[in-house]
Amino acid sequence: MRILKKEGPNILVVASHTEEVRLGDYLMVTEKERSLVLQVIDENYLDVEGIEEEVAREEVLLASVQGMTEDPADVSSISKEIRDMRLLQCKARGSIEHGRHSPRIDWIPSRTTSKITRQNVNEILDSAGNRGHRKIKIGRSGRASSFSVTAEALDGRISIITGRKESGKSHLAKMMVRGLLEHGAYCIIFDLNDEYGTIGLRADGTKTSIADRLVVRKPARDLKFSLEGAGIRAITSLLLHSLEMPGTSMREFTRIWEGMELKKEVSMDSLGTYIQQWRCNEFVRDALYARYYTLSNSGLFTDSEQAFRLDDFFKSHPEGGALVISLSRVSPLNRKMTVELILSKLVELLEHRTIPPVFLLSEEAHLYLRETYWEDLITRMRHFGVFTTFVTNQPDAIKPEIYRQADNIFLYNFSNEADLDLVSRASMVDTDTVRSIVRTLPPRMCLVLGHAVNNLPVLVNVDEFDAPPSGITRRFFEPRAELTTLAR
Amino acid sequence: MRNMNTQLNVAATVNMESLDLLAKEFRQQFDLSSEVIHERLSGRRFVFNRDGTETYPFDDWETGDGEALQMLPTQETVTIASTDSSCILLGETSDSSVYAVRAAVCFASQGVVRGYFRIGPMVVHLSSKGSCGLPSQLEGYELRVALSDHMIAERIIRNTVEKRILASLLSFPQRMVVVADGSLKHPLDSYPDVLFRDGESGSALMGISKTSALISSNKLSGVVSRAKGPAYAPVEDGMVHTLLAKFARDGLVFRVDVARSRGRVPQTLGTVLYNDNFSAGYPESLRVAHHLSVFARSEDMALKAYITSRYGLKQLRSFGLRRIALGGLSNSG
Ligand SMILES: Nc1ncnc2c1ncn2[C@@H]1O[C@H](COP(=O)(O)OP(=O)(O)OP(=O)(O)O)[C@@H](O)[C@H]1O
Ligand SMILES: [Mg+2]
Repeated sequence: MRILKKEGPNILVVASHTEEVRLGDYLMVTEKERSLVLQVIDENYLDVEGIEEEVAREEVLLASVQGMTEDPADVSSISKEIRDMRLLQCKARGSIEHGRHSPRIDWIPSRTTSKITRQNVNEILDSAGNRGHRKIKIGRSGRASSFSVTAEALDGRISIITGRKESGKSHLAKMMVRGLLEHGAYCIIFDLNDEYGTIGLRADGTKTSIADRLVVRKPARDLKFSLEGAGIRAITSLLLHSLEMPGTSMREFTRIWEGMELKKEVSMDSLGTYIQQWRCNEFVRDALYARYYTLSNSGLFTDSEQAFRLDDFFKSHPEGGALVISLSRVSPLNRKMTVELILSKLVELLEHRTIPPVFLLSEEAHLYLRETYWEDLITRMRHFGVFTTFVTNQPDAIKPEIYRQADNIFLYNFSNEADLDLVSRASMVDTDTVRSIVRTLPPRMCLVLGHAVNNLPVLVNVDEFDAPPSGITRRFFEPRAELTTLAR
Repeated sequence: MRNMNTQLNVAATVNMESLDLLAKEFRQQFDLSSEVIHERLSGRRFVFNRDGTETYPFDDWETGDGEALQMLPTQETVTIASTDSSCILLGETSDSSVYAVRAAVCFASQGVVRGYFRIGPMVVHLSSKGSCGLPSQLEGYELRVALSDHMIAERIIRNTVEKRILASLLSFPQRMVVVADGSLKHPLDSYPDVLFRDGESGSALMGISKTSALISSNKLSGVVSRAKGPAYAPVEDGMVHTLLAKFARDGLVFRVDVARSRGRVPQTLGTVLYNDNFSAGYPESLRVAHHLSVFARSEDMALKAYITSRYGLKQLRSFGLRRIALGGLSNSG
């Protein structure tokens, strides 16, 4: 390999066909004690003048006529090699001097005396800083070296996993959740496709060490809240945001709640009675009633002892655990209400430091997360200890502000130009890299950007995940299970 | 490196043993000369050549008088063996030059190209000490002109190689028409008379030239050109008969030299007409031989890489970026 040209951070390297260099690989151009770190972001044939004609002519000529060639110097194999030579388009990603990585790329190594070698990704990343030691292996990078993200790299961070449908986003998210659980973390997962419930199991059905840390709940079925457990804050937030209760009615509701609290009878049952007996404007009473019926019909509330309490979940899982909230076949309103209740309760508990920080995994959040929560999640809630990972196949469902605030981005393939445009502009790395790598990414490979990789983009071949199959898109032309109607 | 996986096809048309012998001869030549060239070139400072191009001038025909004779196909299956070669200057040291030469023979019969035989590229070294890498040494006057002019040197090298191959083809026991690219009488090419004398096998020798000034200046060109079908007009008799001929109705007029025809020039022409393919006006076997021998861009580079590594040459600077980058090849292969 030789350097051909350098223009700013763009460096062209010629390599023979036999040299095993692939997209995403890291190269080191070493001259004396200094090395320039390059990443291959694209490859082409070496454009030798007239070579297309040459190849075409040979194709036509030798396909029609057969014969015998005596080539004592074996020039033909060298010339074949030349025709197969590749031009590697590289980006300079910094320098390594005395074993330390620095972002400097303001020097030019000698074209003739510098040596270019392939470099192990992990070594490059390690030279760029400490990434933590709680490893979560997600795959391989380069040829053989295993690649891990660390729990520390997700801790306190906002992450985004995006790519087109069926590219493997949920697969990666599941691996990361299992890894986090193995390291004793707490996770809350908004699961749209009933695919996270099985991550405690191996493919053969046996339990992994984290199987018992997993709790799966479905709203209105085995996830019901009590008014008392949810608390005034969560409930008012729900009424305000999910049920759009007007301000005047809100004030009356707060008084009613205080009344119930005084008599220690906060329950759905007494709420109904209170509204009926409360002395107030008829319009307000109607408004309160309407909301009350919605709440009670949603099936999300109960006065029984079985009601779900978020703080109990933490208490009962001292070694960490994941709460999987199954949102599949749950009505949009119930989804919104559930998410509202969980998130507002979560913040309340975190504010009072009753629970440790939590990793939140949110699939297709735009389907249930209200507008104002996005900002909140990445600013205020992150501050209290909610570390969100957004998973989506619609990159435009995530606002540019969120991309800008994101610490880690896991990019799978996008073939659509508009999506490609959006992610390449929104990501924390140059658009060339994202465009050329992401466009050609095969399934199961993702480009990791940001904090988790010390800001050195890494192409990862994601491992298989030892868990029972799940989350497979339902098909029409397949043996069908019984059709269930949409839960309320 | 010999590629023989497809030689069966060739074997059906020509005598394989004879071809093998010829190949062996050139390979031995190569191995021998490689040593000598090594001695003469090793570690030398070297300036690589950037290639020049060839042109084929063509003019409009003058009208003139005389008579064109009709050319009739001779319905007899005879192998046409057309030979062509290419030579390029690879570069020079302060007192010598290095060339590469490659030759190809293409066989046709019954109007179809049947196969080919290709030798080279071979490396040829020319210095005042002599030539190295050719089937026969250049000496005296030939060597001196070759050293003085690259174009002439390339021509002499091609001629030397072609001569050897033509002689070899003519000595095959099989009767063929052996065709050379160019005139047999060109003042710069020295063919020995023995090549022109009728031989045992009965093979004829023909030179087909499209560049010769003789074509455009000769008044007979117009006559032949206007003939309704394949036609020819004798220009000169002798050991080598010279004529102007076209092999297809709308074909171009070529200068054709015929030797070893045993007095049957029209039949020899007819044999070529019948056994080769002239759909483009030019013998297909000669066209293929040309393409097989000509050096492709990547082969030019490959040769430079090869000699750089084989003889440990030191490149002198002043090259394009691309070339320096390709120097990388010399370290790996
Ligand atoms: N690295 C991998 N190794 C083996 N199988 C994989 C890998 N990544 C994904 N898969 C499989 O590919 C299929 C699609 O993956 P996944 O469900 O994670 O895609 P997705 O991006 O979440 O799709 P969607 O946008 O529909 O949610 C699944 O069956 C999954 O098991
Ligand atoms: Mg998914």
